[in-house]
Amino acid sequence: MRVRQRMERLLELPEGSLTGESRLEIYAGRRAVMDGRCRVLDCEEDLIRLHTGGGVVCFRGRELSIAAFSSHSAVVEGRLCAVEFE
Amino acid sequence: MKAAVEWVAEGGMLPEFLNRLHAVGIAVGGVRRQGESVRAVTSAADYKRLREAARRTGTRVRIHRKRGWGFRVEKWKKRRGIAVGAVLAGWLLWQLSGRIWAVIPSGIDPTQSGEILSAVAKMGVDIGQPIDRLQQREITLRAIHDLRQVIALTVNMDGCIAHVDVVEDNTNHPLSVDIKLSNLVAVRDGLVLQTEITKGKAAVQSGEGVTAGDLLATGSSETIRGMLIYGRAAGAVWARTKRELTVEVPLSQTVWLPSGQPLTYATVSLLGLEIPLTSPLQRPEAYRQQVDSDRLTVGELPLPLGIDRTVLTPLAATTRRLTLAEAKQQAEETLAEKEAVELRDATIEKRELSSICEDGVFRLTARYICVENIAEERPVTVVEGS
Repeated sequence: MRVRQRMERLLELPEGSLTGESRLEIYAGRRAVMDGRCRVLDCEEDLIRLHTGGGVVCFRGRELSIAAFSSHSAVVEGRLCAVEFE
Repeated sequence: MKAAVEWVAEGGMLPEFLNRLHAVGIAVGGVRRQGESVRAVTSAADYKRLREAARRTGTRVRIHRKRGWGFRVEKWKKRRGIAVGAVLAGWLLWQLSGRIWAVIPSGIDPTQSGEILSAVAKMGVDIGQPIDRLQQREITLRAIHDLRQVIALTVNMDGCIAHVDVVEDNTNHPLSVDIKLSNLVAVRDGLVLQTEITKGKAAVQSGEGVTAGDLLATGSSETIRGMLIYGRAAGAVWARTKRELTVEVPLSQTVWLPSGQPLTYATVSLLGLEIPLTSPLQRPEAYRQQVDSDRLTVGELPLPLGIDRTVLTPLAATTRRLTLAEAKQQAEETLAEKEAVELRDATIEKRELSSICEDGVFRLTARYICVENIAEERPVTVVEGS
């Protein structure tokens, strides 16, 4: 893992592109894109929990939904209030 | 938009169900929790694969809504006849919209419209003819030239309906454009009652008796200096005249009576084309033909589609001897028709009937005293130097 991390830094590649770690991008508190394999642990209107390789990511907010859920990404939409890492 | 299914999953382990879909490579979107159920969207192709995952996790899945053109196309794939029919209907409407569907005359007596309609049909104003080939100016000029009683004719298109607006010459004494110099002469004997000379100088006065050929008005006039100016005479001279009409009806007549079974055949009339619906008939030697036309209409709009049913009734010649009463009735009917034609411009003041039956003929004679215009314009030729 460390070798891949070093290669990423050396070649100035995006974080996780060689290590396969999940990457989370949040857009204006309305949309969160989880890049990488994950599993759904909870799916409620005010709470969505996704299990990634690096742990569990917990989204809190209102009117939450999983806009897309495929083999390589998950998109959470709604009014995000908090993102927690368990 | 591809075909997609919006489904609702209830019961069981819902997060596990979503993860199982994820594991088998089924992409889902719009996952939203609604109370105890989850609503989501997948492609139509993936929806069938949900069942296995649902069974394993104890989840019930039902379709909430089908979306996208895929389902609509699929629906029409099973109804190819309707789809082909719709395409054909569109094509037919497109084709028909460039042609005349109906020709409606206006401004003329319906009994005389046949002559005008057949004349304009030769100029391209007929059912089924293309609209873009109509040449309004040429039609108007040709109609005025060919149809003597018409002084103006226009064809106005209202969509696919051709309205033929006609103005007929209803004046009693029309001016002929060909004549330059003319006199008015009497066409029959009479006692002049009134003169209405619009051009020229009257040669008779009220109370004078005239015979056929007498000069009634002259187109020439003399100036104060004695110079003769030649012109035209026009107008009317109303006179009391005596007229006589005779009608003969043979007492022994050959009449054609129906014999045998009537023959029927039908045709579909589409844009002037006659498409037979039944096998062609062998026409009898003598027959009476009756045609019933059913035209398809949409509201008031006639369509260029209809069914014509023709009934041919075979006729056989039979010699029949009329009674006097029948002969008299027939003679009176014929006289009335003749009167309507020959005395149509005259006012009948008195009418006397007399009849005689001789040599197998019933003869009905009517003597009239009428008031009518006896003036007729006759062209005059002037020889220079005379």
